[in-house]
This record gives sequence, C-alpha cells and structure tokens, in this order.
Amino acid sequence: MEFLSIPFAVFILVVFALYYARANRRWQHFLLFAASLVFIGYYHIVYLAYAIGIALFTFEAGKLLHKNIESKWRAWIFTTSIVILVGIWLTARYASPLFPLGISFYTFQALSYLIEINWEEEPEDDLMDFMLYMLLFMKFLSGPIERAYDMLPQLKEKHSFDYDNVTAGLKLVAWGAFMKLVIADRIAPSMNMVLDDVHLATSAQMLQATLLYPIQLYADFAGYTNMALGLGAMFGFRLSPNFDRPFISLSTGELWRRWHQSLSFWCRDYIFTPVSAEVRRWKKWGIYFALLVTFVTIGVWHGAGWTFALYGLFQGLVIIYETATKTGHERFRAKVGDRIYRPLMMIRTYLLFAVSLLFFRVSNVSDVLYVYQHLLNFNINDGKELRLGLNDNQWIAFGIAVVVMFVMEFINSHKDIIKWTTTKKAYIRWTLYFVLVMLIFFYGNFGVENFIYIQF
Amino acid sequence: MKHKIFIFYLKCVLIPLPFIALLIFYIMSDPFMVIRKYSDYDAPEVAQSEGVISWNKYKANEKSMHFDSFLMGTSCTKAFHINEWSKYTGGKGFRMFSNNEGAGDLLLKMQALDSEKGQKIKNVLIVADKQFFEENHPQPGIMHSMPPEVTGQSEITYQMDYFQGFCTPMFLIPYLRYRIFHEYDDKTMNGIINNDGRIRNSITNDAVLCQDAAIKKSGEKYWKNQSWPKEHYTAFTYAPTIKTESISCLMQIRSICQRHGANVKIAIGPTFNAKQMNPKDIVTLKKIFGDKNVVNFSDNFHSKFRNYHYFYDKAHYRDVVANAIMKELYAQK
Repeated sequence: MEFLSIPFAVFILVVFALYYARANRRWQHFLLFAASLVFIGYYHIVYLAYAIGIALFTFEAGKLLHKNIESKWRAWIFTTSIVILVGIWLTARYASPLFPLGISFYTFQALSYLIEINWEEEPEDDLMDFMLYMLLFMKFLSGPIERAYDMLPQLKEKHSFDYDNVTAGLKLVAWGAFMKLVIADRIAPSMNMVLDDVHLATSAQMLQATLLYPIQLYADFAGYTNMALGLGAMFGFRLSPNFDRPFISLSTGELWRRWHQSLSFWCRDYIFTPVSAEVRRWKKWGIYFALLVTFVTIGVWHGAGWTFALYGLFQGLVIIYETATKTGHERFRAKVGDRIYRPLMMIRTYLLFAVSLLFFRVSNVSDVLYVYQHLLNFNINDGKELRLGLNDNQWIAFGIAVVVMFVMEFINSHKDIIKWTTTKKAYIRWTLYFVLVMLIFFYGNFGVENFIYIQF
Repeated sequence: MKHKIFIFYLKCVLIPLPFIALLIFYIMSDPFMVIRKYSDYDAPEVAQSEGVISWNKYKANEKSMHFDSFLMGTSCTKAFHINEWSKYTGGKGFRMFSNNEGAGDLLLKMQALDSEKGQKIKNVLIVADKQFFEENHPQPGIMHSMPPEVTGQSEITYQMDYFQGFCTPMFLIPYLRYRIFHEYDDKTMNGIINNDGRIRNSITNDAVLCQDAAIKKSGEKYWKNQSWPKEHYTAFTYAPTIKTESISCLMQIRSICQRHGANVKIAIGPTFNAKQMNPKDIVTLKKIFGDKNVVNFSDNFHSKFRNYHYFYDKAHYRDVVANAIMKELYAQK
C-alpha cells in the first residue's frame, strides 16, 4: 500500500480515527499492530511471514542472549543469531524470487537490537511492544532504521490526541508529498528515459541525467522520510530524521553524516567503530580499512549486484582520500577563504556524489563506464534533446520547486517552519496550506508508482 | 480532547472543499470527454486530445467497419481524405493521429493496434515532419495522452492528468468565461475552445476542413489576414535529426508493420518557410522503410508547394498537397 494511494488514505483515516477514539495504550498498540499486519500483508503474505518470523526470532534470541550474558554461551548465541539474520537477509536478496519489502530496514533494526543486548542493554519484555518496534507500518517500507533504545520507551507511553503534534505531522506529510510528487516524480520519467538504456542517449542527455539524478533521489527518499516522520508524529511517535541538508556538504564524509543518517549512523556505530577498534594498531591504515568495510557494506546493503558494491567502494575511497589529505584541504581553505572554499567544495562533493550514483542507478558496470566515457564528449544540436520528454512549463515548475525545497530547508535550519506557521494569523496559515495543496494538485506527477528506496 | 479532535477533523474537511467543488464541476462537465463514453465526439466544446478521441472512435466502430488501413502522424493528416487514400490502397481506412505526434507516440499506437485481437494492419500512411522524428518517447501532457488500455497506466493516473490540465489557469479561466458568458473570444480562447463546430467525420475520423469554405469565400484575403505568409523564404536545411534513438523507434514500427505484412508509406510534407529535412534523414528513412515508400515534399524538388496558397495556416498544408503526396507515393512501385 503506497503512501500516496487511495487505499492508504482510507487506511490511515480509519486507523487514525480508531487510535484516538480510546486513549488506552493497550488498545492503541493492538490497533497499530493489526494495522501494520494489514499494511505489510497488503503487498504479499510472504512479506508478512518474513517480517513476523524475523521479529519473533529476534525477540526470543534477545531474551536468550540476555539470560546467558554472563555464561560461556554468550558469544555462540550472539554470533549464531547474527549469522542467521544476515543469512536470511542475504538469501532473500540473492536467492529468493521474491524480495520481501522492507527486509533490509527491519533486519538492520534486529541486528542493532541484538548487538545492544550483547553490549549489556536490557531486552524488551513485552512482545507486542517489540513487534511494533520491528513492524510499525509508518517506517516499515523504507525506514528510518530505528534504534530500540529510541523507540521502545515511546511505546511505553500512552498517546493522547495532541493537536499541535498531529497538525505538525500532517504538515510534514504534505511537505513530503510535495517533494515526492512535484520534484521527484516530475523528473523520474526523464531520468528513466536516459538511465534505463544509456546507449540510446546522447552525451548531453547523459550529463544532464547524471547531474539531476541526485535531486530526484533526494526528493524521493527525503519526501518519503518526511511522510513517515509526519505519520509517526500524527500517532504520537518521534521517528529519527534521515537527512540534514546533504547538498551543503563540503566533503563526502560530511555528506554521509547528512544523507540517509539512520543507515550511515547505524554503520558507524555497529561496523566502523568496532572494526576500527579491532585494527587500531594499524593506525591510519586501520581507519582506512574500517572505512572501506563500512562503505562497501553500505553499498551491498542497497543491492545484490557489483554496481552497488562499487558504489560503496567509491564512497569509501573518496572519504579515505579526504581523510588522508585533510591537512592539505585545511591549508587550501585558509589560503582561499571560505567565500571560495565552501561553494567550490559543495560543487565538488555534489559532482562526486552524482557520478558515484551512476553505480547505484545504472544496471551494470559496463553501462556506467560507457556513461563515464561519453559524459563530456558532447555537442548539443538544438537543445531539444535536453527536454527529456518534458515541456518548457514542466521544466520551469520543476526548477522552481527545487529552489523552493532548498530555500525551505535553509530557513528550517534556522527556525522551525512548522512551529513558525502556528504563530501566524489564521488567514496566513490557511493561505500557505492552500498554496501547498494546490501546488501538489496542479504540478504533481501522479503517474510514478513507487518510492525508489522501496526496492531495498 | 474531543473538542480538539473535532476541530481537527473539521479543518481536514474544509481545506480540500474548494478542490472537491472543482472536481465535481470537472466530472459533471467532462470537457475533454475522457470520463464517460460518447456516441459523438466530433463537435466538442474544447480542443481535445486527438489521440484519445481517435482511439475511442476506432474502438467504437472497429467491429462494424473492420478498419485495416491507418492514416497516422501529425495533424497534417487533416489534409488527407480517407476516400482519396482508399483509391490507392483498397483498404478500410481510419485516421488515427495525435496533436503534434512524435515517433514515440506513433509506436505506442502501433503496439496497441498490434495487441488488438484480430486486428489486421494492411496499410499505414505516416504523415510526418522533422519534429515527428525528434520525439522518440511518448510525449507528456494531456494533449499527447492515450487511454490506459494503450499506455498501461492506471485509470486514476490518467484521469488525474486531465483534472490537472483542467485546473491550469491557462485552460480553466477561458473555459469558465466561455461557460458563463457563452461568447467566443479568439484572443484568449484560440486553441482552447472549439469554435468550428463539427470538426471530424464520425466514422473515418477525417477532418472537416472548414478552412476550404473560408478560402472560397474570402479568396486572397484569407491569407492577407494572417501574419505569417511571405512571398519568399530562403531555403534552409536542418541538421540530421534521425539518430540512434529515432532509428530504434522506427525499426520497432517497421517490425510491427512487417509482422502484419503492411504496406507502409512515409510522407514528409512541405513547409511554408522553405525549411527542409536533411537528405541524410531521408536516406535513413528509405533504408528502414524502402526506397519507394518515402516521399519528401520539403525538398527543393517540390519547392512549388512552398507557396503560401498551398497552406491553411503555417502548420497545415492543404488537401491538394496531400493529394499530390499520395499520387507520388503510390505511383512508386
């Protein structure tokens, strides 16, 4: 059930109405659990079976691990549990004809839960609360990847109707829909036209698609995340943010602290930190090794092919380079000043990310290399090839929407826009709401079916 | 808390109310004639998506008429009469065209025809120009759209596109003015409101050429009242247009036609401003479709047809030109 679909709209209306009909924790949890089962099962019953199976396994494994935390069996139980979870995930990704939606996200939640217990955190006693932690429908499809110690305490609270939270959540959902429909989905057919079969595209088209794809990906995934966070807020939950204005990053290292944060922080805490601790005697080479392992894992997390591994490797190598040349960069920055350094580094980081994303998007390595060979080898005949299936009005609408998105994020970094709207007079607030809904209605492309990260 | 929930629900209903009202008005008026099926599509209120209308009319009449010959391409197909064309083909012709059709749009239609159970394709005449070969993917926008059974998109997405088109100020304001005051204003409504009454034949989808009557009535004034006609233009040859992507698209069209044993002809019409397709493109077209199946009236050999008297407007040549094109095309054996 896609977030942007009529069945989901009906679903959320019913669940929302019933949720606040009784401000009773047990009732609310039962309702959310039932709703999550319906949401997951709506796609395919096998997805539901996987999700319930992994959740139940993790719950029991956590209890068993905690019970044996002082015993000689601790390492064996922990290692076996991790191997089983990773094995199921890898089997589903590489060997199963049906790749269960959301499995990458909830498997990593399960892994983090068991790792925390191994680090002597307390396991969850309440099965219902744990199942909700794993399967809550708002974050099931594409995250955020929540940590148990963030989410489980929230499940212990009763959630009464909070007008401010609910309306803030609804505004965030609308904003996410704007990003998805007006920006990401508007440009998606054009990107598909080029990147689905690069041999039919001209060099100018390849360059255009390479430069625009990060924006599509960001608007799609951040749009989804905003909708997930907004829905969470509407039901009284604070889900973790996933993005923090990644395109202002001055380095690839910084970009990964701002992009898909729930995944990158997970990998930092559960892969990079332990690995770098293990190899600390290798000094800087240990850091580089840990970075490579972390980012190849991030790449492989995204998909089964070599392209994803290379995508991760690309990131890791660039960050290693940045780490190794940090002093040189600081000297350069001191020499040219921030006025030149910052925009230069932002553009450089964006361009590196854009060319690396070709491994993420294009179907095989040889096609990526084909694009690299032809990227700068172009002459434009009459500019019509750059339309990529959109007319002038659509390009203008897209361009303005992208500018609006970045301006809003800039303002939001200094002042909470959603809170700010509550301080304004009713006619200003309602004008803003109408304008946003109108923009979605009039300029949204309702023809693109899925969010990009649903495939992971 | 109950009071706050009530206020919240009330606001959730109030915010979409204007959009709901607009949606109800749109559904009731159905100006593009895409929500409901009609027995007569040919005297519409507004400019329609010709691709959709052509397909709906084809579907409505195919069982009784058994069409096997398709006149496809740009709106320049208006100059071609099915009866005249049938003299050369002997087939049951139907004009299936689109606004500013591109090769990508045409391929989509060919694939849909190919999928129709029992549909024979004996003759195809593609009326094209340079822009036709630049568009190798189905074009966006409602004026280029095709029904979900052709494109495979969902009905909701299809209808949503039209509702969005309806809501754009460029359409909605003139339409509302026309509906309220029932007066046509050429400056603001041209291309949006149909002021020509009946514009197509109900069975073959032939164009009803009201311009011929206007020419007969006004004579030379018909062209003097328009800004575009000039006595002389300097000839200009476009750079080659047909490249890898276009060739792939055209090969797919050819493949469908070959499967049906169809006789395919390509007609490139003249231009009023002496701009001609690149000879390399014509060579490519002849390689794909056959030497005797392509004529190019935009070239210098056919320069007499550049005279503005051969045009209704700067985008459309007259039926005498179409007749000359067909005569030359089908004379080549």
